Amino acid sequence: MEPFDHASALEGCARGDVASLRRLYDREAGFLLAVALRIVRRREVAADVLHDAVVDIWERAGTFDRSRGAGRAWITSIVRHRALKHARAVGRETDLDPEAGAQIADEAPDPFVALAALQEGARLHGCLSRLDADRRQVILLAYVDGLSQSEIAERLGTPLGTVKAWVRRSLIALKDCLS
Amino acid sequence: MIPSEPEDRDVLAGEYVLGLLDAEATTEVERMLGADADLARRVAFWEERLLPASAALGPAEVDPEQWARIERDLATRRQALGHTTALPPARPRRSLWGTAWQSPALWRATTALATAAAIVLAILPNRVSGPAESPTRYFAILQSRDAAGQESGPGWLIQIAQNGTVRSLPLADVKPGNGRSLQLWTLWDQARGPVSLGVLPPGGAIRLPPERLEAIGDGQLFEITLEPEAGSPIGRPTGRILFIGRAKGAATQSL
Repeated sequence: MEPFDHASALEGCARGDVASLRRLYDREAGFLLAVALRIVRRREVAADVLHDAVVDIWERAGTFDRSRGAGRAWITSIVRHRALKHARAVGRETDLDPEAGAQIADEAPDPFVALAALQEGARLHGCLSRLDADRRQVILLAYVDGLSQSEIAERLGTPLGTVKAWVRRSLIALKDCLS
Repeated sequence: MIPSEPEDRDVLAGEYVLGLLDAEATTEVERMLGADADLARRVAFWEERLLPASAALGPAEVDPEQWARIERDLATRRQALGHTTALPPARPRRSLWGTAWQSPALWRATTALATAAAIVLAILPNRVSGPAESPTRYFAILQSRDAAGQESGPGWLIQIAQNGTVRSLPLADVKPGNGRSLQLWTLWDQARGPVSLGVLPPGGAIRLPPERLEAIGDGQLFEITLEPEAGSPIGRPTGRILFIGRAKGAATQSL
């Protein structure tokens, strides 16, 4: 993909320039929808999440500060938090029994495998591959699939306390590796 | 509590980005981000470094109509805010109404007023709404309905703003119970049957897309039914009606 200046587009949004939002949308809507869909699992809900997130991006663009972080990460985090809020609010555990969850996970692309093929994913892939498979999965199930710690514990058949300890240790190891 | 040790702060920021904090801790981190530049940097670190894992998913297919809906929503918002070029608020404002929403005191007080629903009607739109709120377009006071289908007084207040935000305020004690939820429906076409406006989030608001808002009119029927936690799986009510009532356009003059 050609480089795209997310920060400038966001600064355009902050000035009230709808064309800037449109450029950002044209560039990222498909990606952002995929992020939401992976977390909320339902197409119509994911479309609502995207809608609300784009409105959020527009309304909060004034708080974006390019010296504090990258624009693409900023908009992605808005979508993720929206999607997570939704996933938590509806208490997804009830409509996804572990078997169905595992099946969805099997059908969806494995982010760890996909990362290897992505140029910008090499660093993260390298650091994740240093973790034990279980601990790596904890991080990816949380980040990519939006599972809560208890959902992860259920999915992996691991006690909640163990999952919490793995999260902590994995984060510390990743911080060290990714810095 | 936001920790002071760098390692703990990294873990907290990481858990926040992963979405593993509970609602309370998430709110606290979000509140601190504006003031605590160090924490904001640690959060940005994780947001950037983990991003490739999302990017690796590949894009999903977006409905070509979606942009038009967003654009209409933005236009409605600008109109509702009363200006065309100035910026919308940088962060969602916590209006009096928004704050009151979560106040048990107001809930109790409002419940006490339930029988005097007319008073509530007169007060809410003008006194409780902050000036930045989108003006109210419709109210509906839904009557409680028991298992035998008997109505037993006002039970739920629905407020629909110009921008499509639907707020709902219980006027009677109601607990859907474990694994159950309350779902809001409206009937704008008898032939089509009730259409879901969404599962009512506890204490929260839902927002209607503009085309749905446009379809609401005076006298339109609203109802709340008891449904499975994620909402009715079949797209029409499956549980019994707990509250029912009709929309009434808000008067335009102020008191």
